[in-house]
Amino acid sequence: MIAHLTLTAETIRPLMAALESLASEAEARRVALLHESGLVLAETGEDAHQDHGESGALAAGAFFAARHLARRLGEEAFTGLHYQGASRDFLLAAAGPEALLLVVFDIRTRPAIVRACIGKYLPAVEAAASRLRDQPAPPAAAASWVPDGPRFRATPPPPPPPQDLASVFHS
Amino acid sequence: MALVNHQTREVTFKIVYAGTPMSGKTTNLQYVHARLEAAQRGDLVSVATASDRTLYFDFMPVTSTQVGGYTTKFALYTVPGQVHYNATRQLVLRGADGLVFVADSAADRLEENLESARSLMRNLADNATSLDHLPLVLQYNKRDLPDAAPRAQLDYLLNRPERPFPVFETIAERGANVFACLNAVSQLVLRQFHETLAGSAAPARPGAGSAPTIAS
Repeated sequence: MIAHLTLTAETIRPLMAALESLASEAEARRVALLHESGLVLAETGEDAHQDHGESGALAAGAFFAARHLARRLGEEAFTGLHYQGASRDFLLAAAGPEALLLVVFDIRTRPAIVRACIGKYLPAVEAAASRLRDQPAPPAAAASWVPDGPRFRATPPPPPPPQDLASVFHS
Repeated sequence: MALVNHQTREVTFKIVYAGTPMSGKTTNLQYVHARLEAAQRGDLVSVATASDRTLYFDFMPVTSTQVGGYTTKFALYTVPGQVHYNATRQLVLRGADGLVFVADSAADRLEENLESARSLMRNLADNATSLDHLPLVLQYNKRDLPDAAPRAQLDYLLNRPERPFPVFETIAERGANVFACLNAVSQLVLRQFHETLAGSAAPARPGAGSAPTIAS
């Protein structure tokens, strides 16, 4: 079991270089490398960093659901998924044993171009992603992650509606 | 599987709420979403059926306070409880750093709790992990039900006296103990991570060592 993946300046540089080349050459709006758990490992493009990981979680879910469906239908060689939309397309492709590539694009490019670019840069992405494992975290940082009491607190409940409004709604 | 990003100084963990069908897993996340500061959370994404049963998962990212210059983030997931969504459960459990097992306190649902616990153990084994490496918190939800089973019965079925998991008795609909449970599992996850970094493969709970199970 892998305990953690580590992104450092040294490990992220080749990964970002491969993702940026792919995004630029394919004219993609967003290229993201996701861990199979749904975590976004790295991303680039004009549509990148638009959420807090929601799309990564959904993309991983969609990929594995489609792969599972493909297997049940008798297709063992499932490697990717292409959604063709009105304004945005996305392609999801396996990137090594435990990562996925999400490429979002629009009418500026064509699926065939995007697929070709994925094929071209996938080996570099996979090689860079494989180096994220086995990276020790600095001991100083390790020492600072000791738990220290409640991390989440509930905010006070919202005030009840004014009496007159409440009576309107309940009449 | 935690993600440590030294560039952005963030550490991200995945916590999965698993458990019995209709036990209140989604309600937990809904309450946290409703009552956590907006700056500390993202959107609550639910992939649900038309009747609001969880079809794939619920997901919500939450951000904790900074510790030692690093922001800790937790991706909170629920899995569908229904038996026929087992493949989905197994997928969502991948890469989990911590678990909350939500049990239904209703006396007539004890069997279902047990079956869900067994299903969780099977899925963890299929994902090549176990509770040796994964912190778990038990949540006995719906404690306000008139026919709620005594805690001792739930403990007997789901916990183990020699290596007890932390237990929280909750009423998720009203939010009772929901944050306490979230704080407990996030702390266990951080402690486990810290121990891993420190090089000791020590289990997450005191006294744990040999093949812990939540149900035999």
